Amino acid sequence: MKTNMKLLIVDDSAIIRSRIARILNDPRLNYINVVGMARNGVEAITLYLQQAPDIVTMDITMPEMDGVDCTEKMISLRPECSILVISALSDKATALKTLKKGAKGFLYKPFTDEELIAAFLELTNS
Amino acid sequence: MKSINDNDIRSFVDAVGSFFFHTTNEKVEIRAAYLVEGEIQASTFDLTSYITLSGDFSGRVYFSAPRVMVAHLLLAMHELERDDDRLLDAVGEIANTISGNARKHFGEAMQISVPVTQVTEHDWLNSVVSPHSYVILVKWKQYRASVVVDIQRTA
Amino acid sequence: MDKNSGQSIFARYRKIILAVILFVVADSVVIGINFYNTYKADESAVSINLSGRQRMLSQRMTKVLLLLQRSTEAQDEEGIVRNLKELDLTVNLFNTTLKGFRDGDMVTGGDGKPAFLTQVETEISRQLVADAYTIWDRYFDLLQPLLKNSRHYNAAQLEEAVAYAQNNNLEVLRLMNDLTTDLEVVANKRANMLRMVLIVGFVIAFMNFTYTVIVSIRDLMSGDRKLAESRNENVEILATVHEGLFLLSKDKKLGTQFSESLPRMLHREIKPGMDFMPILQSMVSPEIYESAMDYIELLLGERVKESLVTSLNPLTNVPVNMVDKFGTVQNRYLSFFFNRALVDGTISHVLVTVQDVTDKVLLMQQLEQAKSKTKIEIEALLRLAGSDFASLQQFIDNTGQSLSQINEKLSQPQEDERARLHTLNYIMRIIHGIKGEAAVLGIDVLENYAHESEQELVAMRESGHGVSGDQILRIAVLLEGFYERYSSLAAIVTRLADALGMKKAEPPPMDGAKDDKYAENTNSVLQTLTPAEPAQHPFVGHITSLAQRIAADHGKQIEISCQLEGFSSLPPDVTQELQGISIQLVRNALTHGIEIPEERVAHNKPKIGALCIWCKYLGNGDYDFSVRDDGRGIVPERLRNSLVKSGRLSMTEAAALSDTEIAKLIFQPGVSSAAVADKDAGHGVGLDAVMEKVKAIHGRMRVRSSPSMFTEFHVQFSAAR
Repeated sequence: MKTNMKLLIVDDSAIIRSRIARILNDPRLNYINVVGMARNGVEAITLYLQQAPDIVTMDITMPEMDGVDCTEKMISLRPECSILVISALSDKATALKTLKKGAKGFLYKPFTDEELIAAFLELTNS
Repeated sequence: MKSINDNDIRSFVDAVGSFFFHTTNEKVEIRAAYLVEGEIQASTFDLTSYITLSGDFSGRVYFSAPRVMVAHLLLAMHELERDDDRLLDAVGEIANTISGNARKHFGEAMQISVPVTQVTEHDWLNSVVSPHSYVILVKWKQYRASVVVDIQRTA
Repeated sequence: MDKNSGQSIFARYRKIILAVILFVVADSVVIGINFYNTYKADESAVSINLSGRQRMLSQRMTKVLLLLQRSTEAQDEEGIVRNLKELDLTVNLFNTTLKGFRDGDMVTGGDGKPAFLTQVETEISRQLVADAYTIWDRYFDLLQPLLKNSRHYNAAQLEEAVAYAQNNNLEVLRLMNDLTTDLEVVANKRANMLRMVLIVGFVIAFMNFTYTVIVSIRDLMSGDRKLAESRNENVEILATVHEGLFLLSKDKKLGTQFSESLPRMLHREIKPGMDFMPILQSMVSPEIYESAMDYIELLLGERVKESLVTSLNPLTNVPVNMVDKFGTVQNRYLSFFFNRALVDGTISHVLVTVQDVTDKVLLMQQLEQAKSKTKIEIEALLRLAGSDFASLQQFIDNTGQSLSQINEKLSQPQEDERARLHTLNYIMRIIHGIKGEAAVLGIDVLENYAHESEQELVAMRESGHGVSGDQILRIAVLLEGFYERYSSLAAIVTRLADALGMKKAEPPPMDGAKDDKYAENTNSVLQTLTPAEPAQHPFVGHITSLAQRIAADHGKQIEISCQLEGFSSLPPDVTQELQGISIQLVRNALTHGIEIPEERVAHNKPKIGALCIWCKYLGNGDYDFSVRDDGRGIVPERLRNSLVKSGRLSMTEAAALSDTEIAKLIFQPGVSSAAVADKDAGHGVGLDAVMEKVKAIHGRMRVRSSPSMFTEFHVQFSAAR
């Protein structure tokens, strides 16, 4: 059984944030607990330092600090954190840039519940 | 579905631009472009001229400028008299240029009225234009003027 | 792991190892025997050689005795001395050698050097030596007086020795001859045995060798066969698949094997070990190339999860430029798929599959074009019907606000490129948000449009020329596109809300006091689709039939949209006043505003006029009541003329007033622009009466009009008072 893992949700859309949180109610993901939600990169870094999450879902286009810079910052602070980029981004180049900064995976918006669950399972399967 | 596109609108703005450029050799630059909507209203200045179009498209194109700007324009044209009549003449002339460009752009099938000019108060344009008219703020020297495009496709 | 492989190595090479051990043992034995025999052969050679010499010595003894006898008779002193000496040497040599044969002893060898003579071994030889001694003992005794060069012998003694020698000469010769023969037989036997041992050793070695070779060859051959089989299979697969297949090494070079279709697909010669990236670079755009580089490096690295990045593969349905054999450039679409190839859990290669998807992409494009806009909207509607309604309404609200934010930003003059770039980024973020939320709710229309717009904005930003004023204008046009789609969507949602009996969505976040060409749509749709709205006030029916009657009286055709939101909940005195106001305004509209059909057609307007009567709740107890017609509008020129004609203004007064000022006069008592007064209008009392009623409900009157377009009266009031 997987040990408890802490998740930080970073997205500027309230709809997406609450949707991710809702999908986490799935029994297969009961080892993941949401420890924070951030609307932009700056908030995200603050929560990241406070909560030390194991997993982060990261939007790319956000005000204040975007997902690319935010990912870079998080990985430099704690490289062992698993970051899943979730974005509707039209240009793959930026998404790839985020992955180069250290994110582990990418999921397109829109996503189905199952897609997100599968992504979390894959991400936490070491 | 889309009533008019940016090329259509640009043909009006360019007319204003070329008028200033040909008479003063100075360029006019677009500083803002937006839609009349809710609290966001059209910019009315002291003097306004407009032409009315009908045909495949119908509606009006307005040019509105502050007195001081038109006065400066007259000065640049070495026109010594700068009373309201002269100033209105000048904005009328700009509307004429817009009309010429519109005819060129939309073709001869378009009917275009002679320009109407008038002295206008603070929010006059808002009382005459439809919502979602385009407002383009242009800058010449340190002055701002507006081109308001209130045109729909009728066909 | 290591132990296993050790065992498996022993098992695999067991046969070979046994063969090697057998070879070493057999060879050692053969070499040992051989060595022993060689030693024995040396001994035999000495024996044979010396027994041959005995033969010769026996003859020489006889000959020397005879020569001595002759020399003695002839008184030849010199001959006597020489022959005595010769006799002494010969006898001694014969005697010691014979003794050596009997007992084994050091003797003088054939070359004059000492050599060891072994005792004879066979029975025959021993008998021959014994026989020789029976003769030799007597012979040696007889010879004694003649030896040691002494001249103390007499003639009789010589005579006797000569006679004995002559009598036994042949016998001694025969015995020595036989001994030689026997020794040769022994030597031959030994040589034969040696030969046998060699043959046996050789046979064993040969068998051993043959066995090893057969075993090895068999193993090798079965390995080769398997290898060949798998290679055959590979070759067959690689020759027949349509896809381009190849392995990419960690340094991004092509592997040795690739499918036959690959060169055809890539339109170039392919050789093993070629660098893949330059090939790709020549085919795709620099941006895609850059992304592909990143993507391949991510896959070759260990950090990312393969299944969580495949969606980012930049090389799916990618347009490529290829020059065919006739030199013409062909535009084709290829898809490259990359899969990690793992060896012991680490990434060794990336398997690349290439597909030519040109036909598929073209078909997709055609389908995309064929999809009419209506179809998309129906799709959206169907999807909306299945969505979570609260989210939808939230989306509508958010999007309305977002669009207003964009417009707000656009309306602020942007003085320099930096400011414009800042604006662009701000707008992109908002549009991106809309796109994301639209996507979540499956609202394709807005999602696709947001996507297209976003791409256009990205292109603007990436162009490197800064953001021009023209581009700001383009953004405004894009925004209008958003509003179009948004408004029809908002209308659909409102309709759904009604149909589902839900609380109505907030009024669209556009200014409710203002007419809006889309909101108008929305409301007329509402009116036609929800005729049985329970909250409908009876006045709706009244005013509608009144308007139709007035229109018919004036030979005009109209379509009425009447939406009196919250009308029923207003205090009765207020509704009373509003009814009065609307009746007057409707009269005015039908008299002054709406033209007769012929006139409308002549002005390129729809034959049927539109009359809208709305009451909208603005929130906070505020309402907006409006009447709008799409008729002539208020024409200042006509008003001026009318005012002058009626004598209310002089020509100069009229000319001095601005259009706005003239327009304001319509609210003054007695002003009318109708050509002929009738029951409906023209008495010049309409609007001042309206103003009175507006004052009664503490409202505010506003008029908007556009000549030959529309006239719109708004009464804003608060029910909270």
